[in-house]
Amino acid sequence: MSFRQKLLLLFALTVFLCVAVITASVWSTMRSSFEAANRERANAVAAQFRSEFQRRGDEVVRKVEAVTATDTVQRIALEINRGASDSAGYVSEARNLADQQHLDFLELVDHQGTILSSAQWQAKFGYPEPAIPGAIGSAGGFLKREELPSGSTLGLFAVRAARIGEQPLYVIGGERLDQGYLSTLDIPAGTRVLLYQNLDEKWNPKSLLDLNGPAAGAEKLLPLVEQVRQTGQEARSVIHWSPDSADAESFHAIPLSGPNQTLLGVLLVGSSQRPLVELQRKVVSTALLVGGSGIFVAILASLWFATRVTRPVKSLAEAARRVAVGDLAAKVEIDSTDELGELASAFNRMTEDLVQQKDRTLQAERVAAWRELARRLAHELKNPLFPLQVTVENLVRAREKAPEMFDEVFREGTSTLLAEITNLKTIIGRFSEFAKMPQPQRKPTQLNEVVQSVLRVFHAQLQDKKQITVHTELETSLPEISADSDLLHRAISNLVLNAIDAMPQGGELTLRTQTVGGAVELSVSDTGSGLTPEECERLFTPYYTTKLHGTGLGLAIVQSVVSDHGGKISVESVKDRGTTFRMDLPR
Amino acid sequence: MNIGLELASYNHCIPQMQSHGSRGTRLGWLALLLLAIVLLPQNLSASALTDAARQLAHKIAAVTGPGAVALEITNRSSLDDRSVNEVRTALEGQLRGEGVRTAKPDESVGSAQVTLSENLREYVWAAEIVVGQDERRVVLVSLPRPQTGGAPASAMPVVLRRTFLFAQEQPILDAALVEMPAGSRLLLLDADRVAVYHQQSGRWELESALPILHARTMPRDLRGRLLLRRDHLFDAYLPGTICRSSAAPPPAVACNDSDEPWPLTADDGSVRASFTPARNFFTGAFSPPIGKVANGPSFYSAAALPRSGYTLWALAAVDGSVHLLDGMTDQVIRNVRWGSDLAAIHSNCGTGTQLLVSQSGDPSEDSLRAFDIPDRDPVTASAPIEFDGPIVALWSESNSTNAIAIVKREDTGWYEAYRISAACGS
Amino acid sequence: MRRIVFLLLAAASLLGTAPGATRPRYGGTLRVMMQAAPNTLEIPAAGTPSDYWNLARILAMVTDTLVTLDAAGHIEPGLATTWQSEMNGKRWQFTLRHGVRFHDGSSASAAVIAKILGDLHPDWGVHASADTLTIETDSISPSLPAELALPRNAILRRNSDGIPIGTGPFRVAEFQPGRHLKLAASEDRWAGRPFVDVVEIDLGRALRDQAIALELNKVDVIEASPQSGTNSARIGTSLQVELMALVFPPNTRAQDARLRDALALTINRKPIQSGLLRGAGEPTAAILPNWMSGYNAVFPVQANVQRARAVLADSRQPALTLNYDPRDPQAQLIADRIALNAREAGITVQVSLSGSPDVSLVRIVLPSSDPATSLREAAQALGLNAPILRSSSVDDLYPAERALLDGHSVIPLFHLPLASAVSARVHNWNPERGGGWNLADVWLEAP
Repeated sequence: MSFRQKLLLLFALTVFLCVAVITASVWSTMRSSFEAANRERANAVAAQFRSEFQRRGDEVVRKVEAVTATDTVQRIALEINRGASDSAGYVSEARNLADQQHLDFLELVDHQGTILSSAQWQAKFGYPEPAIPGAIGSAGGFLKREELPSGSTLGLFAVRAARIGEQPLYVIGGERLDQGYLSTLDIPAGTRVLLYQNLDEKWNPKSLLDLNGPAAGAEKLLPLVEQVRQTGQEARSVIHWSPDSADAESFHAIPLSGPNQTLLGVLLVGSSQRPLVELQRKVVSTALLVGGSGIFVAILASLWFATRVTRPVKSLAEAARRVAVGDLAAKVEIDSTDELGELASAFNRMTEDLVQQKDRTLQAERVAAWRELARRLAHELKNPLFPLQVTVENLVRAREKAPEMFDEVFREGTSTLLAEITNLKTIIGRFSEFAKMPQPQRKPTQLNEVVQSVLRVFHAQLQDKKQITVHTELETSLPEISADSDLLHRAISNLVLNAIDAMPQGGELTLRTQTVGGAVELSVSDTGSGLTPEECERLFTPYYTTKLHGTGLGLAIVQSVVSDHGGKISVESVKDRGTTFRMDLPR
Repeated sequence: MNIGLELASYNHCIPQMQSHGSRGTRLGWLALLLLAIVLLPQNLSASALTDAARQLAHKIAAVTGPGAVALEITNRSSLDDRSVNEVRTALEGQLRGEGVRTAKPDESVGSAQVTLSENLREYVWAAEIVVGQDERRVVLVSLPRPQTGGAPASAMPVVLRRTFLFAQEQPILDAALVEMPAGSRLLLLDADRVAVYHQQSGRWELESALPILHARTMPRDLRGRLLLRRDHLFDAYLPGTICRSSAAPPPAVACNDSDEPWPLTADDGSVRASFTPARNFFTGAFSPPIGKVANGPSFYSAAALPRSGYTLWALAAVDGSVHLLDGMTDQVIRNVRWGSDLAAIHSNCGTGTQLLVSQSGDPSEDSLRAFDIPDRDPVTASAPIEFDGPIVALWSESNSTNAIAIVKREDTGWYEAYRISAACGS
Repeated sequence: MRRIVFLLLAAASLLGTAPGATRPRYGGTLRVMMQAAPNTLEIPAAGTPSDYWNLARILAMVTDTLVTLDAAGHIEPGLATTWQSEMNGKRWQFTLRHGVRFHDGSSASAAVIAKILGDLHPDWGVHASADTLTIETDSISPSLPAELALPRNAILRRNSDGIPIGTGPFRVAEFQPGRHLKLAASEDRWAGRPFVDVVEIDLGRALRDQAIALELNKVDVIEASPQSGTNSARIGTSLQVELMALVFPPNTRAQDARLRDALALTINRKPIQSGLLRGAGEPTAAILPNWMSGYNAVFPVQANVQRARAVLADSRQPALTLNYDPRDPQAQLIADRIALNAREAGITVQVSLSGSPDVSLVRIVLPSSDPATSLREAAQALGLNAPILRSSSVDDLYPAERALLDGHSVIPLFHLPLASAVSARVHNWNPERGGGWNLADVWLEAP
């Protein structure tokens, strides 16, 4: 990954993280604000309902008072105080009065709590009204469970007494607390009110009413209603009607109790989450758009910035790379006075220094090489020269001292001379050969076959040195490579020869071929005395040898061959353990 | 209670006066019933009640057997307390006679709940007898219930007086009291006959019934006039029919269809007026004319109020108004609430002869009131006397000193005849 | 309704002050309203009691029966003037009134009447000779005259339009089925021409409409809701001639007699009577009203919830469906009250008009003042086996009625009267105590 990419990534990550943190914070704030707003709205609706409830209660009280003030009720009150023998004659009065005042429920009840007339259940006259003892004295409206022929229901009631004489006549009237009542409530848009009539001992979904009667999906509200039923306290809950969170509703459950604190109903004020969720979605989508755009712009900006920042670095890197491959003429052109400018100047100075240093080193090495070459040549040439000198001196001496023996000495001397001259010629030939290493003639070559042919060449030699064991680990599916098999043969032969030389006391010679990446690798390992790191470094220098004899050109030739094939050669060696040459050849 | 165990036993039917018989028979028992009511109501009733109580006791005893029984008697009938006590006494007496002792509930082995009830025809007495735990039996007796005739009003007002004469179920059209050497006779005219009653021991007993035979269909509101005559006992006028009694005993009556006008007063030379044969009013044609008036309004009734030199006729016209005819003028009085029946009654008070007028209004009660007409404007001359039903006929008696009023009682539907007389008050 | 009655009374008292003659006046048109809206002038087979009475009243105006019954059940002459029974009540002989003619002028001779009665009762042997009519029956028929007095045995012929032609005080002048009936006075009526000339009857008028029309003086005779304390010259109440009862149909779920017994014990009749029937009528546990039988005291009407519970003895009983006649305005409230009463003993009664009922609140007519005849007719109307009675005496009536009520397949509740009201211009308003109107005797004040 380039520096620019890293920089870009860093910038992008930073921007993203910033946007994410801001979004999360905005989201959290928004959510809590919305929830607070929602709660406030639910509280407002609940408060509105309470005030509506109070208002309706007052209305019922007013109507009941109006009924109480009617001539009919006053007449009946008068009659029962006069001891009317038959109070059953009032059966239909309550219904007429209720119709006049638009009351759903109306009962005229005597001082003993006996119904004289009932609008809601006309047949119930003469039966006791159980609510009367508890309800007397309540100034406002109160909730009451009302039995009807079709079942029970809830009502908002008020009671007033017509007092003419000693026996009061109670007028207990009310309005039905059901879907009809809900439909008359003035509630804000987006909210709805459900009523659970707590008329049965157990949860009855049919008792949960909305504007149209029994509410759908009542079971989902069961836990909330049950909570209120058990605690008698207000409760809140969010009901998810579908996987879409916009369909969720926040419910505020308000317990409705009768005069004796019996829970008679639960009012559920539901606020749809849709506006909130849609607002949230809008905010989120806007935030995403803004954030995304920001990130994009930030990436562009960071790209520009990174480009701007990394351009000198890249020039430096390029220059450094060129320097690394030896182009010490590489310069960095930077018109900057900042740290990068200084860096570039330093780099340029450094390359200049390097060029000078290299020149100096090259020069020193060249001198050293020449010296080495001179030493090697002197050494190589000195060895045969010494016998020549001795032989010639022997011939001279023999001619001088023992001419009889001169012939013999001459014969012996000339043979030695010839031998040494041959030796000299050989030495000169080697140097000449190294000097004129041929260019490889490439053709598809199976490396394993080359290895096998080398081993066959050395077979006899290795047989002689029985203490050397040869191991071959050749990959059977080794691909062919484009190479000059003769040059490879020479290079491998040199390596094998080196290995044999390294193991005078015997050991193991291992040849291994394998495919490594896109190249074919040949390794030649010995278990000889190994090399020091310094030896390893200089190993491929021409005319460097660790052997007592040899020109020091073997490994130089190997490296030359490998290099000519576009491959590379490396050496690993552990002192006293052995050395492994590894030759990688491209396919 | 095991209803399935309920059993019942009954008395033999106590003879009733009613049977499914001819109309004649029916009239016969009605007459007997009348006698029962008018003559001996209490005695006959008491005997019948006692007999029935004994029968019931006998039946109770048959169920309970000898022993102590808690007896409770509840009266739900129209029997008065005295009668109930008689029943109780008779019942307990008979029970004792049969070995059944009445005791308190906790000292008795059974109970008998006797209810004295009635239907429209008869008294029905039921005893629910409980012996042991579950056995409940019902025994019943019934006895005819006397038809309660209207009790005659006894109160006499100061000015107008009414005297009850007779009551019967059939409509009475007119009545007349005749003082005869052999005693007073009461003549009652109804649709079919003239009944003659003589007084015996202060009560009227039927002496003879003189049938009126006529061919015509009688109108629905049948009216009739009974006028005593000097040469024979009476003339009876019915719509389209005139009957004359025989002059000598035995009494008989001869009727013939006739549209002759009816006399408006008992005087032989009285003004007569034509009566519509199929209706209930006079046509208004007078014979002879009243002064110059030969044709007046149709009217239901008329009264002659003698004045010096002329007679003022008051007519209750069909249209509800009252016309005063003096032979010259016809004055209409509209603003009075008078009924259709008026008659003259002589009192020697005020103008001497008052106009007796029925009231219009509630049919459940009616009243008669006297008016003076001193100057052609009626002036109230008496307090009203009340009747328990509408006055269906009001005629001056032949001598004009009294009037006969026939009242249909609202409660029983029976017809009662009263004589109305007037006396000076304060 | 109570308010309307008050208004009626007020109107009546105001109008009553008008001057007028008290002697019957001939002429005028009597305006009548009825609830019934018959398409034919026949007693309906499945009508309400109101339909029955209305048609009976119409037929009574147009036709005669051989005999009539008064409220006490006594036989009164009708077309027959005398009667007697022979052969222990198997043969009855009636002497017919002379010269009676049908409204079309034809003679109502014995032969004609015999033919009419013979057609009505094929099982009777009806013979005519001169002025005598003989009726023979297979079984003893002590109540034959009472049977003959029923409106269904009215002597009438019908013209091609089905209009009855009778001998009654009025003849049918015009009939618009379901809407209007005009009767004209019969001039040669044997009992005298009626006072009014014409009776105009508006049919199919609700009680409330009738009351309002009377208040507005647009009608002279109407039906009214009976209630206590309203008897006056203008509002007349008959004897109790209807029975309200609970009837268990054969397929009822209340097959357990204990349940029916318990239900009967729960019903507190008195509040229903005073509250819902406005004091009219009489609570009863018997079929026949006391004015007919006299022994109703032995049929206790008191509710006894404890005993009802004891009768049920914790047995599991089905919920019962109670239906009622929706044409009867009071029926639903009464049914509600019965259901409320039943609750007290743990009996579930649901008032409903749908489905097959387990018990029905019915109202039937007791058509005759003869108790034996009414008991027989009531048994038939209640779906019970008709009793066989030898006479109308309590000796025969009580066991017969007790047998009908055993098993509680019928729970009698109330005996109810009829009520009518008339305008102030109507005079001589003497409705029969048995429910008839007797409009022939009514006359109208001069306008």
